[in-house]
Amino acid sequence: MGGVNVDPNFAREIIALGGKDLRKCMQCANCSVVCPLSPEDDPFPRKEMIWAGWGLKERLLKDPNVWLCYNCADCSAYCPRDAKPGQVMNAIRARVISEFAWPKFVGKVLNRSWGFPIFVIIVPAIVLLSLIYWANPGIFAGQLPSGTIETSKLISTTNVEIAGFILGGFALLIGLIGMWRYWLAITDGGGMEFTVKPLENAELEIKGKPGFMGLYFFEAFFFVLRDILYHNWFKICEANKPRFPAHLLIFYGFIGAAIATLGAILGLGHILEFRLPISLGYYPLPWPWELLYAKEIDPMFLIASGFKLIGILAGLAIILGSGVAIWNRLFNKKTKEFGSYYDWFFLLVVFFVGVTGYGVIIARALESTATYWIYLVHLYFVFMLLVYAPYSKFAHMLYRTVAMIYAWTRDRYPKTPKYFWEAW
Amino acid sequence: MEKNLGVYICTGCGIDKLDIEKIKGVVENEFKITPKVHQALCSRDGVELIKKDIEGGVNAVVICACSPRVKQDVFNFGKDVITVRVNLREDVVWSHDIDEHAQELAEDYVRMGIVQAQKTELPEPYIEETSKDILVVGGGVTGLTAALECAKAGYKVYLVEKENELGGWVKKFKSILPGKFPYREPVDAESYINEKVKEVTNNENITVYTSTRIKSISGQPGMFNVVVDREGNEETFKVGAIIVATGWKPYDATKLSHLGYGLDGVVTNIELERMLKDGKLEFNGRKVKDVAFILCAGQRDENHIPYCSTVCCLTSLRQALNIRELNKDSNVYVFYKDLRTVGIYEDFYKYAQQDEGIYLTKAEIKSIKQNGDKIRVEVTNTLLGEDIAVDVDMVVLVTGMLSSMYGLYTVKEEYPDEGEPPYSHIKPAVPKEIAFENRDKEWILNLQYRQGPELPTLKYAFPDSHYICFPYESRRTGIYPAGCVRAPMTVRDCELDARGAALKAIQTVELVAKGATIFPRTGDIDYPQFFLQRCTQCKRCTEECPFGALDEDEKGTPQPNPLRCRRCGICFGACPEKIISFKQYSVDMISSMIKAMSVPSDEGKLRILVFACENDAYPAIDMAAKNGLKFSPLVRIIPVRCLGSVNVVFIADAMSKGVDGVLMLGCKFGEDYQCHFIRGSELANRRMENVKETLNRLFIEPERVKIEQVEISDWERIPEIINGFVEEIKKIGPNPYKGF
Repeated sequence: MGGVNVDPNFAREIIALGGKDLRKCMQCANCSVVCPLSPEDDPFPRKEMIWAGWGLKERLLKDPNVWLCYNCADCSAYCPRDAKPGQVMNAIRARVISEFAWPKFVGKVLNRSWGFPIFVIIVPAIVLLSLIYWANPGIFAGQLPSGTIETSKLISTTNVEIAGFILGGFALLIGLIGMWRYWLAITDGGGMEFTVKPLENAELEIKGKPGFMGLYFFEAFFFVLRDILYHNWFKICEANKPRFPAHLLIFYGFIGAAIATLGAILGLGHILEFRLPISLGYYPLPWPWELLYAKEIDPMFLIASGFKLIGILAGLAIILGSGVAIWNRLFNKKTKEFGSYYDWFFLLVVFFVGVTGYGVIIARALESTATYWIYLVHLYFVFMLLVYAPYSKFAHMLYRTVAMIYAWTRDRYPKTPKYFWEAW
Repeated sequence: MEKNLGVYICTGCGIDKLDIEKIKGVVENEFKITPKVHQALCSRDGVELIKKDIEGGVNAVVICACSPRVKQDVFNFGKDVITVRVNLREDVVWSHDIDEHAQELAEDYVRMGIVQAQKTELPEPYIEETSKDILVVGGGVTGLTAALECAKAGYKVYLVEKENELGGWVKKFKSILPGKFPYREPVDAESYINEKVKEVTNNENITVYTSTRIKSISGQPGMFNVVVDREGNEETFKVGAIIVATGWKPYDATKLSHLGYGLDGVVTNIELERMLKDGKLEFNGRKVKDVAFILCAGQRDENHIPYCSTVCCLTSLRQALNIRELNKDSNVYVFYKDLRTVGIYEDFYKYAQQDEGIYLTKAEIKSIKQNGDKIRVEVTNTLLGEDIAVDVDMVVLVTGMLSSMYGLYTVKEEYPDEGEPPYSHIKPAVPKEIAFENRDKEWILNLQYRQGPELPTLKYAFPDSHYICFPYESRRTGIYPAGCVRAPMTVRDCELDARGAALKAIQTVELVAKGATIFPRTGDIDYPQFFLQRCTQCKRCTEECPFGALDEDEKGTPQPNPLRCRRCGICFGACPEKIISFKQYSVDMISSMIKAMSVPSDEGKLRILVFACENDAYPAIDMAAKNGLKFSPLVRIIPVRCLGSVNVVFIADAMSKGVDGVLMLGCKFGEDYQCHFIRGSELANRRMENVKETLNRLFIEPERVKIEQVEISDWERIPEIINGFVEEIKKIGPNPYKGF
């Protein structure tokens, strides 16, 4: 072969996924210089720009660098040609997700605006309608449950659980498959060892550290996890400062929501027909302020309302975080990035999951029957969040983690700041 | 003419530091004229003083004040008064410490000035019945624009085109580059050129000759006799000036087999343009989807075209956009050496770059080979830092533009019958054999000039005359090349070029009607007179005239064409018989000025003569003086029109008078010459050999005569040059002929 293969379709896909200014790049490498995250050897995103411009698909699909980028947009802010390297990196990431998440076409269609009618209207509508029909056909006749407002009256907890397990399990499986395939790709098939091409014709050949399976992997995982929890990399961003609090809020919002969900299950005391060893005995979880009126405090009640409090705060964090992110995309002129359909799809789904979830809480507190309607809309967004997770931007949490672990084991990990407190 | 001289000495601007009484004494004693002294001659009062004398019968004034380069409007007393300026300010008081030497210098300048006035005659213009019509050769975009511009200015135009329709290359194009903001989408070529053609054919000032060739052109500006051959019918008309807009021709792609020309699917950009024009992207019935452009195919390459054609990068981008318009699925790969999108067309480049199907990279071609149905292009040294291989349906070789004069026999100097071209700025574009073979087969103007039938070219067959220094000029007075015949350029630049040439042509017809010359002595009506009774038919003048102004009869006697003349005086510098002279500038005049100098036998008072070219060297000396630089007071500066007009006689006269050294300051010569008369300084340099021979015969050291090349920006070096030469002469010692 006389040279690298050029895949024009790949270049077109990156352009369509949001890299529309990609070709403006004149390879000056300003981006690589201003990037606060780029490692000194083999820096990005300069070379990713020309690879994308020329459709070097094989290179980009197994380039972990694209995940070391946090879209700080310093590159876009300082690009003299306005080529927006930040957006291009983002588009490449979208393309990577759709490449590795099985089946491929879902990711390809989902992340493009022409997938909107299928994935935002038709599919969720069918799934949701059949779920409702299965659980409570009466609602089609306009018969809302009467009495105290409880969402389980509309669709029973069991039905939601069954649907949740099937759909969530599917999403998890697809996500893991994608993650594994991506690991194989970036490590060239497992990556127990690797060799570094020596610089300047040195004869020395450096053997790499063992990759997957070794103890080293767990060390890497520990550091990666620490950085994720502390959001260390986000803090280095310059142009896109609001991204740090936004992502932090959404991130911990989701963790809080997961804890609250766990609390709800404990409150119920059983999953499907299986009785749990512990049961709080409160379902739905009681409002925290009910503690004020309680004559004597049951410890289970205290725990249950604690879970509820976490849930309330988590919902608030998600709304606030995604709200900041939306504001940032719309009004932060420094980043020069509005984002693509791929970004907005995920962001709006998160935002509306939060808003509708909170809507349910408020409507229920007001004892309004609107609760049921809001709940249905909430389910609609939760469905999209959950089922499309392995194909949408949500999947970044898997791929990014994999790439960071890989980078750490290859000493390609930007090590500053090492600790949380150093970043302040 | 009975001369009545008036001498006026100004004492302003520091001249009063000199001993004015002594200068007055020199004039009174030696010339029997009573000079008038005024403290500011350029004031209204001072001018009135002179004017009053003129009314009283003075008809030649010698103004001893500032440089002849300044206040020309103040000291302009009309065409009936001879005005000579003696430069006491810049050449004496500003550039010297005032002492005995400076005083002697001032006195010498006054003597020389008075003698100059005595030897000057009033010029009479060469008035003939001239035509103000303009001939435009070539009906492409440049020719059409030039014709329109001349016609709109009220001049009658003859437009000659060899094809059977107007429009030139653009007529054959699908689109052209955009001409206005935002410089993005290509513009439809057909409608653009049709509009121009329509405008030309509807203009009653323009006579269009299609399917016509020029048979011959004879005469001179204002009175060119043009004979055209219109499909076998001969027609004759008279024009005043000519615009040559014959455009370009593509490079022969068959010489590019190393880039795959000849393979199935490898075409030139001209062939591609034809496909685009037809709207069908097919090659041998096969549909073309992916295309690779190879830029600089045979360009910037010593074996083919050594220069950059400047428009191919843009044209390729334009064609790439056209391809993408025809087929939205197509991919166009552009491999370039350097992408040169000049000026505002950077915006066009950015626009093309944004197209998702256009791929641009710098690259060196490794190989272009057939690969099944496709052609495989392999390139190295790319922007990606690694080699790229693409399989495409078509490869476009972007060959360059040759001037339409390429391959033609132009002038004798470029293609001499024997030997090499005599001037170092001449670089023949094709080997002599090719030029000789084409001699009577292909031509454009077929000028009936002694020196050759076409415009002389400068480099790579472009008929230019150092565009930076002398824009729009050629080396044939009244004939102006414009557009791609002169240099490769875009359609839009052709329009601009055409306008420039049109203005030049108009200027010519207007000036020659008054008997005046054009650039650089614009408006000069004095012209060389030949005293042919004493001519020895040596042919030096006819050969050396840079503008081909002199023809010859059978015996070799020069036949002057005064309207072709630019008044440089190179002919009289060449003439060994001293038979050529202007009324205001002659061998006798300069010789007399030299003889008017005082040459003391005192060893400390060496005398050195400087001939300074009035175009660059003399202004440089003025600038040095103005900036307070000082140089030796032993030199006497005589401005000359061109170093080429320095006759060997001047040097012989100076030496026999006892002058110790002669320094000649002229323009740069050679490949990147700056001589306003193309070869004057180079000729002077060559004549030095004769001079040295003469000096040897007189037993004088040849080092006493020297030529220096000076640019106007060299003014800071003037003291260094002059003083350096004075030191050299001091080392050699005084001229042994002193005092004879």
